[in-house]
Amino acid sequence: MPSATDAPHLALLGASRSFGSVRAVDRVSLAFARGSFTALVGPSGCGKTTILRLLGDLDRPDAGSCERDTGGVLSTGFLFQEPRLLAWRTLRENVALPLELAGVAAAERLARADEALRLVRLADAGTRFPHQLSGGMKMRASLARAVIARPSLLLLDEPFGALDEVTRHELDMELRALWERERFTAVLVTHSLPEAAFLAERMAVFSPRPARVVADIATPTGTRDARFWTSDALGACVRAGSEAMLRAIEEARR
Amino acid sequence: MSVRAPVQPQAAGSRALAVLGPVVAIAVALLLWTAIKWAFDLKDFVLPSPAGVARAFLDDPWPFVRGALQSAGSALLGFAIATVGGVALGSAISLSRTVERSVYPLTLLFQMVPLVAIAPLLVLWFGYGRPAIVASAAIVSIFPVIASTVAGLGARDPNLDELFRVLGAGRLATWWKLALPSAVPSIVTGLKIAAGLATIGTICGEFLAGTAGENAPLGVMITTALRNFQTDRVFVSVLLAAAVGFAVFGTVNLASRLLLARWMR
Repeated sequence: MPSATDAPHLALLGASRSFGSVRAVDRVSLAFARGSFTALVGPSGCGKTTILRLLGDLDRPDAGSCERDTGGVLSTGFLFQEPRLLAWRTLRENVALPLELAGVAAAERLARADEALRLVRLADAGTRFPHQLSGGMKMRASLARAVIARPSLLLLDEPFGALDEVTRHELDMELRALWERERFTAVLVTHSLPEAAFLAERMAVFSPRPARVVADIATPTGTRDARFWTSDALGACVRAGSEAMLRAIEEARR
Repeated sequence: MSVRAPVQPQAAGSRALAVLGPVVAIAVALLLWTAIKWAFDLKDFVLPSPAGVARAFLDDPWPFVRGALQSAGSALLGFAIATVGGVALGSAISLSRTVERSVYPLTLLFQMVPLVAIAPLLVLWFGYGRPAIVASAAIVSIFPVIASTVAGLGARDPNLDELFRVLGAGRLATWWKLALPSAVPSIVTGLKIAAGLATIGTICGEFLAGTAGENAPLGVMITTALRNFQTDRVFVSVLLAAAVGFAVFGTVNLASRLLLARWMR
């Protein structure tokens, strides 16, 4: 794992992206330091997911550029809104898929899948099928698959949005702990300010479409535990974020 | 998916009905058959009695059994060729736009050309005997396999497609590990249709290309018996042909249930 340095290895430089006549992203510049955890927060449909797709090389900007210094395909892990597991495979076969496609031998990739499943507390569920699991467990397996190849960049697109509050908090804490241990660069799209403040070191707040950064807020450093959810520090970040967002929404109406 | 739904206590009555129903229906059909024969005073060579048909079979059952086994073998072989060929062709069609544009319309020929029209050609190419019969079974049953493969391969979840793309999967790996497994439920539906058609193709093939003798298949037994006005033997052969159809369909159904156990939950 590369040590955390300030050298950005991922950056958007004045990037814009339109779909037909709709401008989703408007001249956004954002740099992501190696090993950092950034949350992109904004109102629904503001273009956050488009930015994530640009960062992950799933889409190209119409103007400006996206600089990526993240290595090969396996160095980027994706966690989508849905678990996206293959129904006909057991969990360990699902989790091993990135290694399987990269040509890693069966014995090694399954051993690493078991290890990844342990990381997300699913050690006992390796031989079960997705339909036998709860939504939270499926999402955990999806997280294990996203990190099995030890990516240097993890892109998260509202991954826990469909889960109930308790499960969601639990997974947020596990994800944060995983990041504190592994220190990959993480970029999270979410519309929940508390989740952004809990998970990330930095919150980039966006205006309504076209997405523009209206606030760049640093969250408290240090490890997180369950008490952090109700802390004043988290509350202050959420307040600052929602003030910036409301201002931007008002401006957009004018 | 479990092979059978769990039996509820209150469902016991409806289960008894499920067994009793067909038995009653068959009994009524046999009575009706006898009644028609008696009412119109039909001769045995026009309509034999149920008892006469049973006697024709029981007097010398082995030629019928051998014939049925012959036909079942041809149908299964033709079906197997249609399965492998149909999935391969369907995959080629959905993997390549060029193949789709050029070959897919041509495969419609399998569906559109009446078998009776090409069966004489099969005899010309393969000679009399099993190869022509198997070819006939395969030709009749291949189209549903092709069509269901193309449909199944095209209907996969675009989200999973994107997952494979971000994981850097090649076209072949995406086909083998995503598209084909996703298509299995659809392909199985096509195979069930193909199983019935393979039996029809076999009997038709035997009408034209079958050879008489010790191991004559059912299609030949039907034509031979007809020529000799042994209508009772025709009835036995037709009933056995239906049994062969049920057996082939049942085999495919069972195999597909085992296969689908991983999919349909």
